[in-house]
Amino acid sequence: MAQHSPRRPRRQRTTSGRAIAIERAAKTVITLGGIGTILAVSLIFIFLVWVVLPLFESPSVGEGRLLEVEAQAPLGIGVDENHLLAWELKRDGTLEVRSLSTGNSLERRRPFGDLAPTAASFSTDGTRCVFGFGDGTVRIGDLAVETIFPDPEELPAELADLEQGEIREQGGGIVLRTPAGQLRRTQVSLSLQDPLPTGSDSPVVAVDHSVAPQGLYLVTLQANGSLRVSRERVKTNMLTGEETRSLRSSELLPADEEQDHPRFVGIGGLGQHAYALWEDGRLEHWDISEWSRPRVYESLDVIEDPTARVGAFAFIAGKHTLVIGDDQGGLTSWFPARDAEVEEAEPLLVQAHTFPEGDGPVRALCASARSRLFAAGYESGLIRVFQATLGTGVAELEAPEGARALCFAPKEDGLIAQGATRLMRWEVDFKYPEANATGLFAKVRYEGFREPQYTWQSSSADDDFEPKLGLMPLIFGTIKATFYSMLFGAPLAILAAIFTSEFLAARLRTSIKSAVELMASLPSVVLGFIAALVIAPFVQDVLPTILTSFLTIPICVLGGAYLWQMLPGDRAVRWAGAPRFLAICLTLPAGILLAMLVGPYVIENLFFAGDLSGWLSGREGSSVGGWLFLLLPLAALVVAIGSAFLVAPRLRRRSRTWSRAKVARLEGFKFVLGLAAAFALALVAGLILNSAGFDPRGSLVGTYVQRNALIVGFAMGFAIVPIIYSLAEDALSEVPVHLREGSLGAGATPWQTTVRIIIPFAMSGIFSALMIGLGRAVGETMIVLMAAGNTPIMEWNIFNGFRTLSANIAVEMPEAVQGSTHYRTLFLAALVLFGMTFILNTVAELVRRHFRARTQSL
Amino acid sequence: MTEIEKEKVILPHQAARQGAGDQAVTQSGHTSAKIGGLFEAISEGRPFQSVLHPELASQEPVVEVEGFNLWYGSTQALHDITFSVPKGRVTALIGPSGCGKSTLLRSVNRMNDLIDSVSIEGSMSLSGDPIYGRSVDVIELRKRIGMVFQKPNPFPMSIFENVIYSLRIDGVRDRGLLNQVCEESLRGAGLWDEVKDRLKSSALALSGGQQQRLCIARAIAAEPEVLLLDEPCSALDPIATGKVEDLIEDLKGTYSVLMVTHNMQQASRVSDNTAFMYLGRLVEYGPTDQVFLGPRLKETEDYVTGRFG
Ligand SMILES: Nc1ncnc2c1ncn2[C@@H]1O[C@H](COP(=O)(O)OP(=O)(O)OP(=O)(O)O)[C@@H](O)[C@H]1O
Ligand SMILES: [Mg+2]
Repeated sequence: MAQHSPRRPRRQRTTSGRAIAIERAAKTVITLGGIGTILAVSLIFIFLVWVVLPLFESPSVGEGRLLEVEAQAPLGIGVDENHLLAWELKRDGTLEVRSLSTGNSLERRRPFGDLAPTAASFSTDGTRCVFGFGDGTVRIGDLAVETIFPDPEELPAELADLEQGEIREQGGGIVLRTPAGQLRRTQVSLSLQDPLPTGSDSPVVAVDHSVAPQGLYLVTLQANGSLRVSRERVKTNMLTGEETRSLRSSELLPADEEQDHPRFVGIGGLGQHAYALWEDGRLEHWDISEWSRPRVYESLDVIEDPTARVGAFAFIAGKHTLVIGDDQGGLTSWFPARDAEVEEAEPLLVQAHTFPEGDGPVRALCASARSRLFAAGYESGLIRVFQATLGTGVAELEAPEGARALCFAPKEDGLIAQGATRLMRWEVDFKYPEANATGLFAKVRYEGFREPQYTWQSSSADDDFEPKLGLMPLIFGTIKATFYSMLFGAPLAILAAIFTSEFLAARLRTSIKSAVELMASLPSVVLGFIAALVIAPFVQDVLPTILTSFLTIPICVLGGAYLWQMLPGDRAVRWAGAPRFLAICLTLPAGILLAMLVGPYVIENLFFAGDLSGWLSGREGSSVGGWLFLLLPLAALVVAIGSAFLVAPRLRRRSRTWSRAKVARLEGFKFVLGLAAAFALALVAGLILNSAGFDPRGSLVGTYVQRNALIVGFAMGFAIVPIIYSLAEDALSEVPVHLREGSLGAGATPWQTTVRIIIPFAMSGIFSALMIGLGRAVGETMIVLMAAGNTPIMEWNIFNGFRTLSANIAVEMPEAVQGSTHYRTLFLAALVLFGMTFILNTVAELVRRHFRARTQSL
Repeated sequence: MTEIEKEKVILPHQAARQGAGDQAVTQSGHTSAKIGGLFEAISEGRPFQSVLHPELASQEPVVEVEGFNLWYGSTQALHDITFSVPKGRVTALIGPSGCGKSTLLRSVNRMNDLIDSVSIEGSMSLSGDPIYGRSVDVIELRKRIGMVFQKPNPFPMSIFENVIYSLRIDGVRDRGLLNQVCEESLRGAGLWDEVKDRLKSSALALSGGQQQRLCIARAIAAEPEVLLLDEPCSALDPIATGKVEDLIEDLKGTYSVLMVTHNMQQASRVSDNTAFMYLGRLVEYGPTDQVFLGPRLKETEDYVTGRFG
């Protein structure tokens, strides 16, 4: 080694402390960052799971508490929302209020004087009630549990020292000191209107009512067999302001002593349906929407077993679903539903569920006012709680002496059952019975649906609306959005990346790349809103042109390429630079121009019966044109492959000695011929499919809705093209230059080099690019929120909207009540989204590694 | 073995030092004094005339280069090169590292087109057809010229597919023909016995030397008019080098070969003619025995005997 110059110090052979310190610090920071990222992602995951998990918890039932009372089978029972007191209307006309903590009788009164009602009907979700009497009259009333703040002066002195939270029995109710220090009394009130004649003086043996906005509807059965529907009419005297009420009724079944009389009667919905149920299981169903002219819908047998007798009958909240229990323990639910396939179909009853058989006769049924839960009490003492929509059992309780009457606490956090001598009460937490795996992910037959369906409908203007929380339509929407976005975006981005990296000069490449990447900086909310407010109406206006341009643009680009080859002399080679680029750029407007010329007139008239949107909605035209249009790309592919394998080798052999111009002419001729062949092939296939009865409408295409998957595809293309393009371009440019040179040096064209060498080598990178684009499309929110119409339907129809998981979360999260089923289901939607992207990324990584391994040794 | 090794190791090493020390050559007086006046003249950019041996004029040329200049951006890499590659013979290009051998070689099949900053002047022709010219189809041109690069560059596909790549891109589907060409080419490149049982496995699994011979097989499978070899043996062991040299020997007559080498022994063993380049200029070009044994210029003698630098 040469001598060191004196000025240069000898190289130190130990690493300096500074370098080591920096090394350590860097390592620590990087490790912390990595761990932090993993931790953050895991925490998000854990948080989601933590919110979602309660949905799947099983209900908890507290210890049952027995109160010794003297009780008979009552006309009705009820409980207040704080579980302080329970009321019972006895058959002898006594209303008794009892303390639920001691069982002491707080109040006993006879609101009907000496009379005893012979029938009664209570609302599950309101205070309105109707009583029938032996003289054929009915009385409408309001029975409510009310809380009042009595004047402290009137209260006995010993209540003054009542501690907060402590309760005391007083004045027919229960007094409690509120946290604010006031004394509050919970008590039962019953107000009654004057008796109204039903039109017959035979005793009322069964009554049911329904409160509609236009008034009260009644159905009454009388001892002589007369069954009537009545409507309450209120007349206000203009001078005195006095209200006079009367009933106008019409007869469903005439009085007939000979015949068997129904056992139960019911009035469904808001007074549209009337039902009468005989002991042997015969059910008569009337249309009473025009109440003065009732009409029989149907008569059916709701009990299969001929020996079984109907034991109990009740409506689920909302009064659409009927639950019928028999004395063999059978339990079924029914609701009226229209057949969607048939026009003006009548809402006939369908059997929704058959519930697991109990161990004895069903004696009592009651529905919760809050949800679709109902409880069935069997003679044996078994009490089962079911979810009516899903048909699943939720909880099982045991009442030692059987339940004569059942009642849910108003907040659905308790259940009381009245037996022969005892009142039983349970504190229960049913958790989220409407959201189990079936309800969330499987087809469910919701009320009014003839067939089980995937449905998402979380809210409605209706009061007795049941949230339908099936996630499938949202998952489907997400997949549809991703599919159509990738269908437009991915080929465009990959082809653009190939074009710029392999066919463009480096100078042009960098400027194009930065321009495309600039596209990525467009906020997606801007894209969404442009898509929804500008593109969507525009596309709707010029739909035929747009659709035609999907065909004319590729045809123009390819046709341009063949024409270019036919340039006389050596011009094709000499103009390979800027002139060719310019020519390529010109093919796009040429394609659009062609589409504008032929789209609205030729194509629309020829294929779509002159009215594209009419054709799409299935109103007119045969399906041949649509098939031709859809199958053309496929047919072109078939023709291209066929010609490459069958025609090309022969031609090549013969044309080996031909001049370049002659070969170019031949190729051009082949292109035109191939186009014609593809047309013919698509036409033949279309004719065959049409005559076989297949129609593309209803599957891939269908009724045009302004905001649809096509629009989202366009807009989302803007969002994902830059990402895919930029990453794919990087991957392509990273292919070692010596491979490209090797291939080009062997005489391959740039395209052959691209297809045979560059793409296989860059596959892992291109795949990553696609997957990242896919991930973006799956999670994209703003664009789909604004441009997809947000209708949660499951249709592949490109011209229809959809709702994605992400958009749904964005739309509904602000209005979801914290901790509710809806809220947790939205978190579940987030979890599903998370899972989808996670699986996608994992698969992508595995595939990428597979591709990577093939090229690693270079 | 030691003979060859020594040559291989020492010469490029010295050459590299010389190439890297361009600046030093022009500035420090004693270096130029030691290697003589011509190199100094070249490095200072003074005009000078390449020495072409008259014997070459009688040989039929396949590639003719006329007044060829090449720039990478604004730096000139080739200066006024005029020479011709005789048909059916092996021509060696020697010279210190960075003198433009690869650049010249790559100019013959227009590989330099791929580099944006390159501009050229002058003309080249292949069997009388111009190589540069606005109406020349580069693809067709390259089909007539085979090239093997300094660094082995097998494609990420099977050995078989690598060898028959040029036939594949020409659309040949005849299985029998493909198999035949594959075997002949691999035999020609001395690789057949090593890979005949694993033609379907990836070419990337081969060793560096095997990869280079595969690249040679790929080049000769296309039956080019001219074969360009850029230091084909720099990654090979002496045995493989021997095989490649034998191969080049065999190719003589059928193919015209233009090869770059840093191995003087190799140049003297296999080539018919040798061209010596220095700093982008052709210094001396003549039959190999004359260039090695009785060069016209002292500088050439210094270089081929290893006294250079
Ligand atoms: N792509 C390029 N861009 C700019 N300059 C280049 C490029 N390639 C080569 N050069 C320059 O051109 C000159 C000649 O390079 P070349 O690769 O032809 O040398 P060489 O004789 O093949 O050397 P070696 O024996 O080391 O392979 C060198 O000075 C080099 O720096
Ligand atoms: Mg080189």
